[in-house]
Amino acid sequence: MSRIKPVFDRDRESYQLMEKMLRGELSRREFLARTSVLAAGVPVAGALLSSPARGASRPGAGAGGRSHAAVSGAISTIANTGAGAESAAWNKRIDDFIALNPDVTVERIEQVGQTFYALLPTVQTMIAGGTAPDTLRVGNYSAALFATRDALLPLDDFIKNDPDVDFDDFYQGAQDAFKVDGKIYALPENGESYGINYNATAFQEKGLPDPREQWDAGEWTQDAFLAAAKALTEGEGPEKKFGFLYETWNSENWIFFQGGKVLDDDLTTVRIDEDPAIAGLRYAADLVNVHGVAPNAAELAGRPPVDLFQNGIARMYMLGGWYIANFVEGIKDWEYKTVGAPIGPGGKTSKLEISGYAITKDSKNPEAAWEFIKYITGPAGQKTWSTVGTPTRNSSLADFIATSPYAEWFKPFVEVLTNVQHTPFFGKSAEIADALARGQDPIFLGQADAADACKAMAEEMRAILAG
Amino acid sequence: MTTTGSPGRSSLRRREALWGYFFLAPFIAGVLIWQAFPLLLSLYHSFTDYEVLTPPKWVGLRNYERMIGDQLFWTSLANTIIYTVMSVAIFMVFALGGALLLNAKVRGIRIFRVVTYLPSQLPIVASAFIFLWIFEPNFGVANYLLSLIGIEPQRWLFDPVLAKPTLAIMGIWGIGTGIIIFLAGLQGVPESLYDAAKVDGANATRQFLHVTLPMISPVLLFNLIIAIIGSFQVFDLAYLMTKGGPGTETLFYVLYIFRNAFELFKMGYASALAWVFFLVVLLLTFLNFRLSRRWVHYEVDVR
Repeated sequence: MSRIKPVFDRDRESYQLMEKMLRGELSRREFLARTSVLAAGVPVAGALLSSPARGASRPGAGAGGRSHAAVSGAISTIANTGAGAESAAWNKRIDDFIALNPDVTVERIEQVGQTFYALLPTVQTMIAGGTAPDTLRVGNYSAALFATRDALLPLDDFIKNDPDVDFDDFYQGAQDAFKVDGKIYALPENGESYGINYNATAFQEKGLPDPREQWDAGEWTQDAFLAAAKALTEGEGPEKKFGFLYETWNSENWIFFQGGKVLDDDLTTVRIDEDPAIAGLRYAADLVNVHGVAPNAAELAGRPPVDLFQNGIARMYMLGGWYIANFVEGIKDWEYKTVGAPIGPGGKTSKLEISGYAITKDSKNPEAAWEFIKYITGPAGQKTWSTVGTPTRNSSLADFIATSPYAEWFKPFVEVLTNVQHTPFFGKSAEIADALARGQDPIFLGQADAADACKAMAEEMRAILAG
Repeated sequence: MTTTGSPGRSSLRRREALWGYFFLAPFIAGVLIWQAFPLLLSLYHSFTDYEVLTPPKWVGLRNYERMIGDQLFWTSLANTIIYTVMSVAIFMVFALGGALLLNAKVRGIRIFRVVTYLPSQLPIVASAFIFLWIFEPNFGVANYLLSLIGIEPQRWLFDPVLAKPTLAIMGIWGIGTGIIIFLAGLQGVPESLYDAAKVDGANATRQFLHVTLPMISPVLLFNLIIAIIGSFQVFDLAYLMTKGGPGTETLFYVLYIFRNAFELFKMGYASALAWVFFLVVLLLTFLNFRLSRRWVHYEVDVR
């Protein structure tokens, strides 16, 4: 955990000029002229002006770019971030929020390099100890875990009463992600789909068709993918080069690719023992155990997957979009491209990894906390975060594709966002996920047939649901 | 003998006792607040459905009943017992062997004693990363050494059969503390016993079996009990290195308690698991003491 003092930069003056414009004290032309003098203000001005004023009841009120109400006091926020660019972006948004709300102090509790789930014990302990943070970053089912235990504030009234927030601007999957029993418990921040990063140079050297062209033509099927993976796999032992690389912690993807599910949205029907789910996990495990085109856990040991891909040892790597910027900047020895996951019976789809911001029920300053999460997840906040992650607002996505230097690589990932899915987020999601993680291991180790393992998992999941 | 005395002397004794309690008070308060109270609270929670973020709800014996049908409870208990057997055997053999070697009267022996003790003082996290490197399947030292004698590389922590033994082998890192205690015991064996044995024609092996072992049997018992309790509580290695995998091969009991308490929000069930764990360890320790009557020899009759 770290506590960082906010840093003020030239963007602060740009925001203050924006405030004047929104209050009608400055024309748009004057605003652009004066921010251009600041030099650093132009990109910020562009970002601010790209924020559409939706649902504003007052002239000049911008969604996320200006606080609806003046707030003051102290709040604290806890989040997990990735090292480097992600941490910098996280801190920058908070700095920008403070620039707009100088009467608010924000205590930052940052856990660098941790997953959302690693935050669970920390936040649990803080709440139990009476030192609950005002806001917290949630991801996937962590919001539902807290919401069903009455630890989070529902945000429906905040959303309804605040004309500055356009909740409909979030795409549908994002809108639904943090709803529990019909109530909204977090504002979406960024949402990542999965796709395949690949070594285009290796494909050319092997005379293989380009996957991206096949994807655009709807020909990037599971058969085409497997054929390419086999052709790209060569060598033995420590010198082996793999056609493909994936990690088992996101194995739900393979179930979704086959048109299967782990659990129905009604939270009563377990579907992991149905044919599509079994076929999905079997297909993924066969890549390792039968076709030998992907490394097993032992072959991956001690070798970070991102390094294996960047060093050319793995020619294709399935991952969420959060590492695209790093690959673009880091890979210089060969041509790096991206494509969606192979199209199976489930169509162009993938698992959704989504993050958001919530307010704890024990927050002592919910008004300031609301303004904070509103800004973080608003158009300006999403613009800042778009350097490291995919926005969840339709307006921000459009701007992201139009202006991001990484847009070309993100395109297949964004295309899939209209059809992303996830196992339902609810109070028992952690137990379901734990059952899946343990139960699938024998399949990937080659110790159990997928059908038997899925049947065992289904039994355990039914027992979990039965309580 | 009846104690009689003047009122002045009993008043003095009372004052002395009060001063004694006064100086003991901080320690007693600490024990009550930081140990006794949490213990009793966890006992209460073991009879509740408690998710930390919501108030506990009394459910009686349901958590204990649930354990009977919980496959992972039995799996984690079995894993822990198997690991303990392997780990304690390795610890006792290597610690006693090390102590015998370090009991030699050679020049520089103190340096050897320090060197063998130091690894046991290394933080467990550092040790875990060292062993992750040693047992790394692709480039690790262990597989390299095996390759020198023509044995195929092993998956070690990624092999369902080898994962537990691999973790047990890592216990060698901590034999330093055991060596120190064995060494103290060995140095307490009178030389006259060895002289008498030699006179009777005993060779080195018979001296070890019939003089050394019986004389250090109390120390053996102590180390055995400490090793069993310590091995039963294995958590760090599994949490840092294997997360309970592959599959559930290294899902040890304490790791299972941790998962329920902090990852699955089931603090009530975790509390029940913890109390069952306490009873299991208590039973093992009691059995050890009972069985020790047959093979532990005390200089003074302590029965």
